[in-house]
Amino acid sequence: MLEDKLLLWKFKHGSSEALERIYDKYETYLITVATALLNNTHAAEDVLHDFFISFVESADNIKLNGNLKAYLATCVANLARNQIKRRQLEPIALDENDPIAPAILEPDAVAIQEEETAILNQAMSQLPYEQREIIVLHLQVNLKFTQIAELRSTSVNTIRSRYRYGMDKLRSLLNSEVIK
Amino acid sequence: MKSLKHIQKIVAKFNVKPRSEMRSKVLNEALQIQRKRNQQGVSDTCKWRIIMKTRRTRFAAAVIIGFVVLLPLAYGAAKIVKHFFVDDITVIVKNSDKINTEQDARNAIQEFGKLYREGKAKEVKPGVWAVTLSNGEEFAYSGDNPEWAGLSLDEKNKLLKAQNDEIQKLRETGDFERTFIKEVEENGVKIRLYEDQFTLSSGKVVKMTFGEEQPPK
Repeated sequence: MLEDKLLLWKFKHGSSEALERIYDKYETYLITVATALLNNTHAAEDVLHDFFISFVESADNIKLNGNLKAYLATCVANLARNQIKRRQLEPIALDENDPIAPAILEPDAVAIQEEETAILNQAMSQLPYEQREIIVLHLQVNLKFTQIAELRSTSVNTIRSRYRYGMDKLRSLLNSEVIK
Repeated sequence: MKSLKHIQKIVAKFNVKPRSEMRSKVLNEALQIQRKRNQQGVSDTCKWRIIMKTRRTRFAAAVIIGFVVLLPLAYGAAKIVKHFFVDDITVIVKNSDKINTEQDARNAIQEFGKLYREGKAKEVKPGVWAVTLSNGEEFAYSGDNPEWAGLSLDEKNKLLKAQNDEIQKLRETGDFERTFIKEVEENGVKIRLYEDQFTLSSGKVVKMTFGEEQPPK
């Protein structure tokens, strides 16, 4: 989108308004990606924080070939992956008193979506990280398998297999709704 | 039994609402870093030269301008005496014995902002607002967003978020004016540039520029 290109151009030239606009436009999306990957809201917030700091610090070096949204989500995914490797995070189940709030919805829909969100989050947490990451990158960040393969320096067939195994396990978990 | 397609849909629609504190926590720090980088970087004069260098960027200049000048009301011809840089604002002090330090300049900015938000500023020229400060000094402000003068970053963020939410609602209801600016070509693709103008409930007019790629004939 040209709006994103203009925003990025203004941001790289030091516009604080452009930075605020980028943040407001993509905050929900990026925290969603990070939470889906890490299943831990505090860790997801840390990743979002770290990402924006490094985004500003490396403004001069940003070279965008594709779209801004995918670029931001890929950076967040990379940081999430680093965090998993560094901390060997144990995904925590959602606290009933601190649910992951879905975006704006009618009250009944909120109740339903909160439950679905909690169940989905729990099921995702039981997948190996590589499978979870591919599912998130493909279904939420809308990357193709070829793009994910290039990002992770692995073959497309490996990516497809991990995706398939991940989705099979997810389906099995969601259909049985087995929550450990 | 949930099908694969249904599960793909659930995952794609998974959506998390960030905590409200996140915006001020993350953005404040990012903006501070950006400000420091800007101060260490190219001067405003050089920035103008860079902005005006190419035909393409000349158009974008109007939407980039963000620097603000505050000056005591001798904004006619007068010799510049002092120069302060307070947050994002350049204060040029001419013929004043009441603004001598950065704190004086800061106080003047805060008072200007307060008076503006109370509706006590007068637009003496398009885009130039003047007030009389409590110390009797006449102050003029030239630039965008005078309503933000003197606000803390949190206050400014709240105001900006409310403004962005209102713009989004106006866009969804189609309650805005679109003006065609011109057509440009980029890498062989024709792009029509438009400006959308939103009139907020406060009376403030916000303009946003964007472009639409034209399909090849």
